[in-house]
Amino acid sequence: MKLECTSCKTRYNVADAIIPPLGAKIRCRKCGAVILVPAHGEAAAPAPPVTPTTLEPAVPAAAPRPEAFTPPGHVTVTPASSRAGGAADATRGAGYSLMGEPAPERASAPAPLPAAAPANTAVTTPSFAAETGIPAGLSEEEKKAHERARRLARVLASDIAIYNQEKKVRGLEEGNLVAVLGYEIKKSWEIYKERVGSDLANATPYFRNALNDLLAEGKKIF
Amino acid sequence: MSLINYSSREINCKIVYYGPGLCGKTTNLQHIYARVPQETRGKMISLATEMDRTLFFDFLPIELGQIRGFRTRFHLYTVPGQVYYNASRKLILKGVDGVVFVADSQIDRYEANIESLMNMHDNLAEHGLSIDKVPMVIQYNKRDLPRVVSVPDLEKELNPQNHPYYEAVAFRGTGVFDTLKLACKQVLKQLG
Repeated sequence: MKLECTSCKTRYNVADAIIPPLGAKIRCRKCGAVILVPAHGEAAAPAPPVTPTTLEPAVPAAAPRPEAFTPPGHVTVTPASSRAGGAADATRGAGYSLMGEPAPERASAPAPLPAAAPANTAVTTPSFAAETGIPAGLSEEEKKAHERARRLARVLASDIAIYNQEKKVRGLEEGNLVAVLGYEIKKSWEIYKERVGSDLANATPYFRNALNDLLAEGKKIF
Repeated sequence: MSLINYSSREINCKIVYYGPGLCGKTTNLQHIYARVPQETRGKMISLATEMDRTLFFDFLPIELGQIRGFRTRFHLYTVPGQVYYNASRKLILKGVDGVVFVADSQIDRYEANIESLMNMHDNLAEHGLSIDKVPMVIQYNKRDLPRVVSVPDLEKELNPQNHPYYEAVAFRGTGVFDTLKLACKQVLKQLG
């Protein structure tokens, strides 16, 4: 099914198979507006109250793959792919000398390979550096902007973690980290967008990766 | 920018303790406050509002010797370290005479140090200042913890201009007065 955002006119191709029989609400990746997806066979019937879903534009940028932070309660629909698990975690501790500890083993270990090459990101290895997730082939200026964005995301996540240690532990134990720290995460996301710009914030996975890495302790919760 | 009070014959200097959240800025000031003779110190003022949990500054004048008949009074401030509270940080930096940058040595806060330092440069620039003109002492705090970045690595990333630095364990007081003394000395040198 072809859809168009009523707000910014971005067009999407949505496979009929993933649209629920009763229709759905989706969120435009570009402007954030909610688009009503009619039920099968209907023209523009009002959609039932189902969870909004975030979609990729019909013509996504070649690289990096857009991966916006989705507020709690939203579902992100991405093409059938999964990012290489654990790659971001491999950077933690690597490259620093530790006082009173041997150098981390992982620093010299070969980089972990993705479990399966994602269908639409065949150039994952060269385009996403395993350590930082920053795309290759950027100009120096762009690279600096990406590095700043990534660092800011990690510092914001780290701030949440150290200022809310009890909540974090409880959230991890009870499996409701998103709910427990929702306010702090939302506040940080707003600051992040303001500082790095919405375009870069929405088009890169740095914020999400930072939350997974530093708040969820490597689990893919966000 | 030091302020001279002719009526009380005092030179007032402002030193700001800057650094990422929970790096030990407040611990430094609390330690200093507890050990400065009561008669030479002012009141410790702490601000904490409902929304801004960590938004507070400490105000602590310490009197040193005299310069040409004027007593020197140092006002020590901390800034809220969390990324959120930049407006407060910017405000507190106004009129600063010297900076103590407290870095958290822990690996997990390595990037927070870099971010905070860059933020300090930006905020100084907004006041028409630069770290080339404002004396700075770096304190590498929490050296007693197990997972810390080595001092040479911290130096490489945070101190390319070779500002003087001290290693510290602020909650025990290690390195706290060394850092303060040097910061005061540098500020006075700048005045002279």
